[in-house]
Amino acid sequence: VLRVYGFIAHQHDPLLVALAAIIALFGAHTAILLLRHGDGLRGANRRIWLLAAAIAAGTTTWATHFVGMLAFQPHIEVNFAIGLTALSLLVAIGIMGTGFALALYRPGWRVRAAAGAFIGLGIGAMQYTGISAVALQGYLDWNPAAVALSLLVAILFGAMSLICALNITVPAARWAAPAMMWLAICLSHLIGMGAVSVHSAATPASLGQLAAMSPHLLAANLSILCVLVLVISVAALHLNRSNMRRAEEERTNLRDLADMSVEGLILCDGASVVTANASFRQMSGFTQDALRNATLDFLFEGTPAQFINPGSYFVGEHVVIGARGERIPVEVVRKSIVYSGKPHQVLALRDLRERRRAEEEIRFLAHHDSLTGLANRVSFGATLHRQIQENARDQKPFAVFALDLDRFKDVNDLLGHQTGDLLLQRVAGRLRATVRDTDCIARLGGDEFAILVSGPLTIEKSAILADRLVEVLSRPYILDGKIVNIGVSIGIAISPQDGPDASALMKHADLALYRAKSDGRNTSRRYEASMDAELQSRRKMELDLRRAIVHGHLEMHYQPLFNVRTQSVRGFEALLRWRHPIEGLISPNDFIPMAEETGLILPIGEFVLNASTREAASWDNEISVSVNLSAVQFSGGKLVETVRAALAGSGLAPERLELEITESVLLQESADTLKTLHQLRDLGVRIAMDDFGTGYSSLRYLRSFPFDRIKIDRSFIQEMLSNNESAAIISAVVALSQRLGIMTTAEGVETEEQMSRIQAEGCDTVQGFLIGRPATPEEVGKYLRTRVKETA
Amino acid sequence: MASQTDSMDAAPLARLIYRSRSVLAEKSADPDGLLATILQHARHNNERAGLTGVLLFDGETFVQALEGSLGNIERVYEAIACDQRHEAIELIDLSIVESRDYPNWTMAFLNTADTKYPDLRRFMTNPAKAASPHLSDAVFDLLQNMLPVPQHFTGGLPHFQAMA
Repeated sequence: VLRVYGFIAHQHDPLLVALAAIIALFGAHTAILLLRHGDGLRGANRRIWLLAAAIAAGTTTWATHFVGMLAFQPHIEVNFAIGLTALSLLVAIGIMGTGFALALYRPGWRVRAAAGAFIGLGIGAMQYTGISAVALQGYLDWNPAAVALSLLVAILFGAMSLICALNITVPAARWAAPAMMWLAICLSHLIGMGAVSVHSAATPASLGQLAAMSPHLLAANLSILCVLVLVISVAALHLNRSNMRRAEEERTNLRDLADMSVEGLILCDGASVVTANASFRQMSGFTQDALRNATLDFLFEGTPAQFINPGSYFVGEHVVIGARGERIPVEVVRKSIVYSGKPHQVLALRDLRERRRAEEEIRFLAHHDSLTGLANRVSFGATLHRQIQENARDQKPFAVFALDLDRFKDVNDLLGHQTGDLLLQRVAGRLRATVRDTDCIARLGGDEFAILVSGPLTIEKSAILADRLVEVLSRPYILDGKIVNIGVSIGIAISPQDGPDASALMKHADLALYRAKSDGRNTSRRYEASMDAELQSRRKMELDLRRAIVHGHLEMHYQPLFNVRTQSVRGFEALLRWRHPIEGLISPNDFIPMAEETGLILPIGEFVLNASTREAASWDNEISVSVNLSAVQFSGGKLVETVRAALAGSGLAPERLELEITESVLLQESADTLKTLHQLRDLGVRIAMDDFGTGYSSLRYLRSFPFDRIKIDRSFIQEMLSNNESAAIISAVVALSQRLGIMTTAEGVETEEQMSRIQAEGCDTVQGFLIGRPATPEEVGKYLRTRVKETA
Repeated sequence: MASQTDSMDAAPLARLIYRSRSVLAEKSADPDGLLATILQHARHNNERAGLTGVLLFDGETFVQALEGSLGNIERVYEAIACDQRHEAIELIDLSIVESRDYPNWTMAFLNTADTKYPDLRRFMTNPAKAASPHLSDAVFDLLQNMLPVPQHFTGGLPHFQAMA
């Protein structure tokens, strides 16, 4: 070290030494920079940057050495042999290039160390080639130990420099690599120079034969050369870096864009995946690593040859096998693109799972009743149709049950639709619990259900099942804490004997259901051929009744109401008659239920009101008329208007009109019904309760509306002489009515005994055959005229 | 006698009493075994739903009292109403109550065919005439007097399960 120090201090020009050190520093830094840049590239790009690094390193090392040589002042004239000098520059560049190439193309730190050692050796070789190029008036004497040391230092720092140069994981390597390179150059030069002793006694060695250059010119040239190389290198590097940064930004933008895409995107080269976006990774559950180098065969079910075959555009549905082995239906759009100068395919995949789920739900909704989850009418029809086709082959009898809940409407009206819906759900649950899983249960709408009871099935078995259904559905329900009782009527049709096709079976099950209902409900009936005939006659009757309304075949008869106290007729009850052109007079009992069912009661009711008020208007002023109203008229919503119009049209004083309602009107006890009753009363008409005592809780209704009159049912009158309980009830009702200020009429009085008992009980009015049978308007008119004469 | 959980429970406490006719004999060759299974299920379900009660059976007729929150009673009752192992269900009483009559039994079982319980036999044949409090009183007294049980015993009463 002392020797080196002395060497620098006494035999060197300090300015040139500093210049050499600076050139070496910049050179080392630039070379490492260029090398690192080249490391991130491939192909021709890498070669270019490798060459640049080699030139930068070689030139500066060479320049450092020669400037160092120029700084050497052995007090002897020194010149350089141009040939050897140029050769040493090429040697330097070649060795640097070889070393860098080795480090770049072969991975592993050992290779880099070897490459660095090679570069160190090269530095030494160049140095000694350069020293040999010195032509001076003396001779050189070599110190072998110092030469070895200089080579060792060059090898050591060269190796360390390259190890650091291409290691990007340790931050310190960033500055350590050029520093090591710098040390390798500078130290080996200094020690190398120290290894040389100059002796001036020697004969000039054929100096004149060498083309020589003066040291200062050489130094200036070298410096300019170095600066040029370095400046050009650094400028090129910056340009390239910014290009690359822009390219990288664009790539990042593209990747972000691809990742933002809702659709899965796969870029593939032939059948192998290059990359995929975030959506696809999320859809499939694969990581980017798992996807890299995966093949399309691995990702897709089957081998979608269309993905690989060239062609510009392709759309189809395929199945991706996800990371967990799940099948993912996808819609694929394929497009050929050029990527990195090569044709690639881009597959855009739309996840169809959500759509499939939605389709499934829509399919379910289309085939099921949303409230109960049971099949709906459409899918029941389809199932029935299928069953009939199967049945044609295997001949297993099966049954169609048509069910209709009894009193469901009451539940809905009294407890509200929510409770009604809850009831329907409970009914659905009980149906499911009662039939087999293989049977198809459907809600056809409202409170109508149907069951396809799969076969083989005997008639007895179907009847047993129907009975069980009636029993289970009639069990009490608890709906939001309220106890509800309903029933069910069931019609049964058995295939094939009860109908050849779906519509016949359904129709016949409905007919049987109708019979079950008219037979008192809460029971089941199987279809019989006679039901068809009944239906026919019912339809014919309906048609006839429609004609009767239009053609005036309906007429009013009037039965007298007798005031017991005044012993005179105080009014008439209007009774409807249907004079059928062929069948003669038809009783209301035979056609009113049908009229109520079909809604014909509304025009009929209007006719009755109009005809009765018109007729009554022609009677004496004190004679009133009583008209029966049906419950159906109350739900029609136009009753008050109809009554008002009838009164206005006839000119009858409202107090002469008495409207009779039965308990069935009040059964619903809805606010609407009571409102209508009050509105009718506000018109001035009077309201009577008909058939009192036959209902479910007659007395309750007296509380809900202030009736003007009670008509005690004929059954009590007929039994009053033989049955003490009937007599007691009559007394009680009359007494109660008197207390409440309600008038009473005894219906169906047929004998003098009954008459006298009734009179004794205190009824104001009696009605019955004893007083008078229903009579035609003409007969009534005649009677009233006669009566006037008698009284007159 | 209301347990602590009841007093903390916001839902109103209710009691349901129903009667039904057994079809166990038609459904199974081993009706006693079937009944034991039913009881086991009932106790399990009741425990989860926080229901307690008593089941009376005379070989033909069931009378069951269920106590707990109204919602749970409604749910369990609907399951009972779907059960095909009995029929002709009549609801005798459904009312909001202050406290449980059978807080200690997820489903106690009494075989009323035993002639020792004339009150219960009368009740079984005509529950409509015996108002529901009478059932509770009669059964409650019986359970209390004849069966000294631990305060929070919920597993049913083994020697009361014996079939006639």
